Amino acid sequence: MFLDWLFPIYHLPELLRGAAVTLETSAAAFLFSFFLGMLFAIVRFHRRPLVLYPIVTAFVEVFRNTPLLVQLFFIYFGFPQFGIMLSPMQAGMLGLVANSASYYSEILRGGIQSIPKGQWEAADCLGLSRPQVFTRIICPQVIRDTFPSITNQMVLVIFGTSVLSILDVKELTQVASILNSQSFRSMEIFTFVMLLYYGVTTLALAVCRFCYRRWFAAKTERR
Amino acid sequence: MDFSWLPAYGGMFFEAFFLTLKLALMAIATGTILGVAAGILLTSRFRLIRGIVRVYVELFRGSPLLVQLFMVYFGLPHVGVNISLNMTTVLVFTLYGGAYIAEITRSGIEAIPKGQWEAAESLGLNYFQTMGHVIFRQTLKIAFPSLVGFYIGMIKDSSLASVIGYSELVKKSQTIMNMTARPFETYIVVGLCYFIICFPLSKLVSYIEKRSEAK
Amino acid sequence: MIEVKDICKSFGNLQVLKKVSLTVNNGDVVAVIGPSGSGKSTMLRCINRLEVIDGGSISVDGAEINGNDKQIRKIRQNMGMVFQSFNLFPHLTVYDNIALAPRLIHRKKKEELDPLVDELLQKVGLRDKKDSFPAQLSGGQQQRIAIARALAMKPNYMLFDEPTSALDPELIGEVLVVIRQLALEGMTMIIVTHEMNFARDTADRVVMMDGGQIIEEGAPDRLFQDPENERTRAFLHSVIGRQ
Repeated sequence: MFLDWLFPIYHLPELLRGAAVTLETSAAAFLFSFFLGMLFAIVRFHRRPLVLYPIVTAFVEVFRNTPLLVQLFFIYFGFPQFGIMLSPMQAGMLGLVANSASYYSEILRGGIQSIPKGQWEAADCLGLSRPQVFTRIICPQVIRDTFPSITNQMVLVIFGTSVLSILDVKELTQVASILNSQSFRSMEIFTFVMLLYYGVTTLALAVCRFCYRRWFAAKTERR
Repeated sequence: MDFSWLPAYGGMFFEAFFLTLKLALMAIATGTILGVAAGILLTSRFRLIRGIVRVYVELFRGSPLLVQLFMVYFGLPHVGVNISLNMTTVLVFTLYGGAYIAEITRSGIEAIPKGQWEAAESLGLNYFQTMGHVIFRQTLKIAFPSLVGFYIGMIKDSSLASVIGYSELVKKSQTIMNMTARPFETYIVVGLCYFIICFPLSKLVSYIEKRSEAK
Repeated sequence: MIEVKDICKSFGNLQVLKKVSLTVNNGDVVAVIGPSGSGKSTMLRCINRLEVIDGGSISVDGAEINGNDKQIRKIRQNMGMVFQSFNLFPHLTVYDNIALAPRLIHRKKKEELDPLVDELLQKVGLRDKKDSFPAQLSGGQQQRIAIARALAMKPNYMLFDEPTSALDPELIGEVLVVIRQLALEGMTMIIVTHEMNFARDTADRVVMMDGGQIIEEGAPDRLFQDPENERTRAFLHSVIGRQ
């Protein structure tokens, strides 16, 4: 019954190394999935190129309506059947990015749809090309409007990395599991790790809020 | 790709699928009860109550479900609490779901304009009457899409219970996979099972959302 | 010169333009008036291809608009449009709103953009708002910025789609002043408007539309004083009687 709450502190280096892997993986997965999701959103919004639209739609719906764990197992255990051998990290990243991109696709598509038609028209009438209209006018507004959903999904990506532990990727949860099986100090370890995740996500969200205020905040006060 | 084994194992899949649904439904039920209660408490005027519930909600929303499962599953026996795997799993999902539903409920309640409370007060209704007759029905309407969206997520999240050994679809499918040596096809079928539940439900939610927006 | 010949346009089952023809020569200021649903805005939006015509033809500077993307963009770069709902870009400052198109399309550098923006803001009377955001401005100010933005590309033609219809009454005047000044400077303009007095004072020619057709066209004084068409007479009576 004796709980040694200092135990996790003794193993701080390993845990922090695991946290570093978590952060790196999360950041990479977030960036890749955000951009991939943006591409998907564009295809789904314009319904063009005609060939890609059904493929992207199918992809998005499949990855949004199945669990991440199943997706990871499918990639890591299923692909070798056809000769594609992936390392745990590769399979994990692939699954995480595919999964998150599908959610971003819908978030961003919804954002694009709610941009008033007048914005497209005004930009077109100035003679801007399609890519210019999208990157300069539409995209910044979409990111601003959907920012809470974007950060929310980012947190889910961070949590998603914990599932990678099942494939033996040495991120925070896996480090904790290994420590647990060696020492059986389960309560202490996992409580500490829970708090660590909480700290990491709070930090990440604070960074996002800072970025938002600096680049995207709507200026609405009348001078 | 070879699905010839499917008829032989079809029954097992079916059973396992229902185990998943059973777990999900139970977790949804208990999670909703806890979550709604917690959500209402989050709007209490007593700072202490709000504070305690807030700690719970932040903790369980701010950490991954898998870590929560591990903590309860491995940790409780060490503090002398010995409960079945079943109860452990339901407990964790209840706490997890409760935290998210608490947030959904709270923002639903806070979205009701102050004028509603004021009108009820000026009619002489007390807190419980106001809550029951005026506020809560409206909260439900506002929160409905987020709530059902979360439930759909719960169905998918139930797959993590397999990691601590709970018998549901993913756990059983691993047995099947070992017997057929066809992981690719096995997981396609598993994915399909989740898909045929989650896809129509999520389409339903967006349909309802669109309809209420059009009004 | 803009030449609109027998254009037709339907939205679903509703035919909004029924063989409309209009010629606008360089330097002309044409005011288009008429009841709601007469097709005035639609006709204007067909000219810069915000709407695609179902029949007939539109030519700008002798070249017929044929649907080629590059051609349309070139035409639009030479034709400014001012919208009823301003459509300023909320995430950009006033300066950036105006400088965006010249910077991206004409590839102008800062040294050229600064004086250009200054000159335009001076023209619309809002020099001190250079670093403000649209949300911080009143409706009249926003519309004047929208005009400046359209002028930044130095177009030969300006299209105005009910520029003051979304403004509070006390803000309409400041916008009309700017438009009138442009007309006096010789800009070729088509203005769809409900401001009858403005049309009378500023336009060289007034076009009256009803039911998807041009039912009367002529010099403002003559048309407002002594309309030939019954419907024109009725419309003017109902509108001016109230102004």
